[in-house]
Amino acid sequence: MTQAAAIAITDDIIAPSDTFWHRLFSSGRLLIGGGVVLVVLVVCLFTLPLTLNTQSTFYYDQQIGEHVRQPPSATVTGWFGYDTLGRSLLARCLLGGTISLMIGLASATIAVVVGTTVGLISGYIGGWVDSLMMRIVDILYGLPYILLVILLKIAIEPQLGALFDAMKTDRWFSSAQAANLVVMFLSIGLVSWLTLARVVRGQVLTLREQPFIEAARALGLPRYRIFMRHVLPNLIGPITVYATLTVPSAILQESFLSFLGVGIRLPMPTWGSLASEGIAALSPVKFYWWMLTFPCLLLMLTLLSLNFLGDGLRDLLDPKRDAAKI
Amino acid sequence: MMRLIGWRLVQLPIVLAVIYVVTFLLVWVAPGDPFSGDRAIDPSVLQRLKERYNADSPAQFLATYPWRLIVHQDFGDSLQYKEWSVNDIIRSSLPVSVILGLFAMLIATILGVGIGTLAAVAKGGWVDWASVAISLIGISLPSFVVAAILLLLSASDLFRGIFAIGRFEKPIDLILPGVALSLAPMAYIVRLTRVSMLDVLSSDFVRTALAKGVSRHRIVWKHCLRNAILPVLSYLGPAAAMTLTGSFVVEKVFNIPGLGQHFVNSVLNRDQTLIIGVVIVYSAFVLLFNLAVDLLYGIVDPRIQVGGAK
Amino acid sequence: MRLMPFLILCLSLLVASCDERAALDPKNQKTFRFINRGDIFTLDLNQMSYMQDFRLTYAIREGLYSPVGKDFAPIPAGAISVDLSEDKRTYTFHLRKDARWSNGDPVTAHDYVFSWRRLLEDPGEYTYLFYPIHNAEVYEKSVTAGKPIDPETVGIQALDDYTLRVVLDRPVTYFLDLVAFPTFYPRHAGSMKPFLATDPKTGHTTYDNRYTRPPAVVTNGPFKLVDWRFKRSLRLEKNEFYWDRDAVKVDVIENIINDNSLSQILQFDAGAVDWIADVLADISPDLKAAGRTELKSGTAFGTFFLTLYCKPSFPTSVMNGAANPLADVRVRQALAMAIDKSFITEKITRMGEEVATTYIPPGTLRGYTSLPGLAMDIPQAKKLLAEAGYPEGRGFPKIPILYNTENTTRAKVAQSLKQQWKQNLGIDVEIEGLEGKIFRQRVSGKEYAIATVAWYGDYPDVATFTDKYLSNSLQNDSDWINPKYDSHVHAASNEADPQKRFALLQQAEHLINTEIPILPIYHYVNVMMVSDRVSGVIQNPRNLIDWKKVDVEEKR
Repeated sequence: MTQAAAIAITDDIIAPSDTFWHRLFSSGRLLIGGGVVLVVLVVCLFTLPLTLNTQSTFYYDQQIGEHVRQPPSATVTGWFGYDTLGRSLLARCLLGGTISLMIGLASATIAVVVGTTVGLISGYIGGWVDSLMMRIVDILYGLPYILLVILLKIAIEPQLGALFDAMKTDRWFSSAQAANLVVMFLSIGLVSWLTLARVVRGQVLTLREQPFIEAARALGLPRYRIFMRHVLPNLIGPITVYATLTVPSAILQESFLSFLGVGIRLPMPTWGSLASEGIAALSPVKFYWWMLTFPCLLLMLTLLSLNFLGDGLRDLLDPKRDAAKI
Repeated sequence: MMRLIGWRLVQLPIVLAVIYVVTFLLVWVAPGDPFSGDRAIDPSVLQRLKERYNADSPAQFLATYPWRLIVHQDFGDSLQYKEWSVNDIIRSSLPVSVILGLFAMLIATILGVGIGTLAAVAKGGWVDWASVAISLIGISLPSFVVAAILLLLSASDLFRGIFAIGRFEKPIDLILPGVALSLAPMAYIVRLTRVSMLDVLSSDFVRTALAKGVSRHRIVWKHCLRNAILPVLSYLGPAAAMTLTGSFVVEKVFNIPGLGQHFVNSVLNRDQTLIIGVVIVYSAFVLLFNLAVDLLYGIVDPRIQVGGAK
Repeated sequence: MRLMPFLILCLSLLVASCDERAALDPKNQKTFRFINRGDIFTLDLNQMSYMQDFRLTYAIREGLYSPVGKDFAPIPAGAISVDLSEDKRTYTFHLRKDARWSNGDPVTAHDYVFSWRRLLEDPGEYTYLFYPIHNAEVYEKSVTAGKPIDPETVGIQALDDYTLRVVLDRPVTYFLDLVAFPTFYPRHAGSMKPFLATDPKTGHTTYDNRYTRPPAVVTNGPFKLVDWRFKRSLRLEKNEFYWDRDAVKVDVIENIINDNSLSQILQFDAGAVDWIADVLADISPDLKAAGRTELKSGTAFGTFFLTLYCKPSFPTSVMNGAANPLADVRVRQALAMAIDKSFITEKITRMGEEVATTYIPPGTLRGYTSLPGLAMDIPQAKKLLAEAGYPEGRGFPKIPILYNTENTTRAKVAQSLKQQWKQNLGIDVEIEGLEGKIFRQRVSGKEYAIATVAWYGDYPDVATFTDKYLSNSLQNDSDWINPKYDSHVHAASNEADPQKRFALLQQAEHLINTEIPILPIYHYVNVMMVSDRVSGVIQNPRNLIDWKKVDVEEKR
């Protein structure tokens, strides 16, 4: 077999371009998942000028005494009802969506960059480097996460706040709030990469032993070339999929931190913190259903869609997806 | 193989030691005092308390703790629950968490594999959609919401008198917390099974079997499942460790006296000895599970060489 | 199937892990089940400081006096009578001869001396309550320093087995209230001996707290602790050696530990508990609104307020050590007058809390009334703020207002205050939620500008509130220093006449109410759920309970 032939074979495995677009449009999961996420994102982003404007009736922290705990009504601000301080839940859900998705995306980005790098190095180089890196991952798994978050908050939040102050960025969010957001990205991103690193490493290990890689090695291709041309392209699929799946889990992670009281800084909302406020208002005698239902519905819809998007991508990018019809 | 196990077993205490030292450092640099309450305490009183609980000299603690742990199996006294040692706490809460975790894993595995297989067989059809969607609901809502809804359900007229609320008396009381805890791993298992089942279904031996006239039912549930379940097995290790400690929310909502709550509460209370105690116990679990998984990888797929044992 | 053995293993483990003991009450025993405020932290008298711990201690221990008289005034319990000297500084208690420990031993004056000295030898949060006793503080400090003075020089002496003499340095009008407080209860030295340890480094002697766990624990109250299951429940049974055992109504008390507000109320509704001692704020307003008759609420002995940092400049960790606008009394007054506190009590807390303009909750101390503080007055507030140099809030720095994230109500109050000050004064504050331990460190370390805090009185006297803001007090979080205040409070503490004393303290409190080192928001209410089958559980400001009177009707 010539070198060219070997590459041609692997290329065929990577991108069966003849049917890619066809598959993309025939994958219901991908289209519906992606579509819903897109719609939610667009709606949340385009209403930002309203929800962040202190003068607008849609301002996310507009407390009105008469509206306290009022159920959904016909006026637009009241579509989702009002919360315990008389703020429009619709406005808070819209801004909360932006922040939640922002946290999800930013944390997933951090997780993907760190996790992929570590996983690739560990899996491809192998030997003692692999051992060492995987033990470091083990150690980080073992450390008390909440303590790390608390320490991270204390260590860098004030400094970041001062930095943002100096940069005069407090147009929409105060510099302290912006610093808090960055800390949230970091603290969620820094735990999410661990699983990703293990997954990527596992993929590399499997890939390394595949016949076509062995063939490439037997042909005497340089290591970096094998890595760049044969290993990495085959990993893009799984990495994309896991990245998509990291977004929803990061959003949930934020809701957990908010539940514990080490999450987002009030009065900024996230879907998770709105849901946790809704849960606090839950009792067997009186159910402020709108405070729980709307954030939860939005959360569920978006996370389901993100998960579907991930699954759809996997079906699309997985080289061996041709199942026999049974 | 034996060399590999030996090598990993040698690494285990080293990793644990590093986790111990790092946790110790984190615990001691963390601001907040384990003895502080709602009102300020006289500094000399505080100093006496610290001396009493060996919290006055970090260096001494760092050095003597491993010795005490290894020789006497003593994790020290809790700083928050003054009547209880960390040993007492772990002894009383670990079994609860283990049972709950096992139960949750059992539900997750049985339902997850079942639903995943159904979904794969019916790929693209409504069964596929519905089963995946249902399994995903569990990881599309915060666990505190799911758990609270299940708690309300357990107290509703539907189940009147069946479950003891807020207590943990009969085995049946485990059902709802177990379900709440199983949702996240189940969603993963459904996905894993579905994907690997799809792989297996596309392999040659399935075509051969079909051609030979073996019934579809038999092919799926007998031949394919056995192959498709392998990735699920490898996920069970980390998942079991996760359920063990990830049960904070479920424990809190259902008022279950397990270990998960100490994972979070000890940190919030700065209960330094308890933090270190639960971290060491948990890490030992995770490391053993991961070791088991890596070995399983090796056994299942002999082509893979696990790092360090070339 | 290979799964079967695994399933069987799981099931058997399952059965083994659950406890059969919980359901084991014989039918003929009258059991009272209640949910305490939270986890029991400790039952050791030296270190005890939480409400739930005290509540349980009232059931298992008894002091010279018990706070169970009319309006929960102290009445003799372990003592029969007391002789008070002319100068009101020497108390001679005559002890009851029929008082017994739960193991049958008599309770003697030596048990009191032992227990009180322990508080000084191994001090805790409440040791300061002993400081009025002659030489008590000296003895405590000398033990800590490792050079103990003769304990006989302390004003706590057993004249004989049944006579206890206490000598004070100054007249303490509320001393009988103090001896009714659990910190002053006796302990059984014999049963504690196995737990004695000496620190080789410092030479300090301590008792391992496990002396409070059954079966080792020996107590002298109407009930004894027979079982304590960590994070689950505590079981108390009637003490058959108790001198007044015939008055005790129930046979068994079960303290169920449950921290979750929703689960608590579901447990109550299912009939599994008879009393929720403190209903959490998440859920109580809705129960009240739903007209639940089991819900009882009333004024508490505590106030929710903002503490304002009063030094001229912030410490470097706050706003980089900038000048502190709150150092100006006019700014503090403006902040106080610009708040619509009724919005907070009517829309957020909703339990009928009384809006506070004073530090001390009105009507909770017999014979004492506070002078009214600053009422809401927005024009005046604006005027004061302008006089202080911030007309319409211009130039006012964006100071942080801290709250403790463990408390959801305070998060809401902080958000409401932010909006109100913005609207009414034009000033912008930054809300900062801090995890509990860090919050406490920042507030008691005086590294804050404004923080939402609270204060509950320990003993029924004005001093439990006013001592906090003495300039040398450890609890003076505001760093507010007012020599006039100090002189009023000091004069009051040496005043034996209750009328004159209250007049002095009233002047002192008024200084707080008008100079606003703290900004009172509302006075707390206690909320409990008590089943209709229960009698003898009475709502009161200090959350006291007379366990002897508690009775529960059999279920039909």
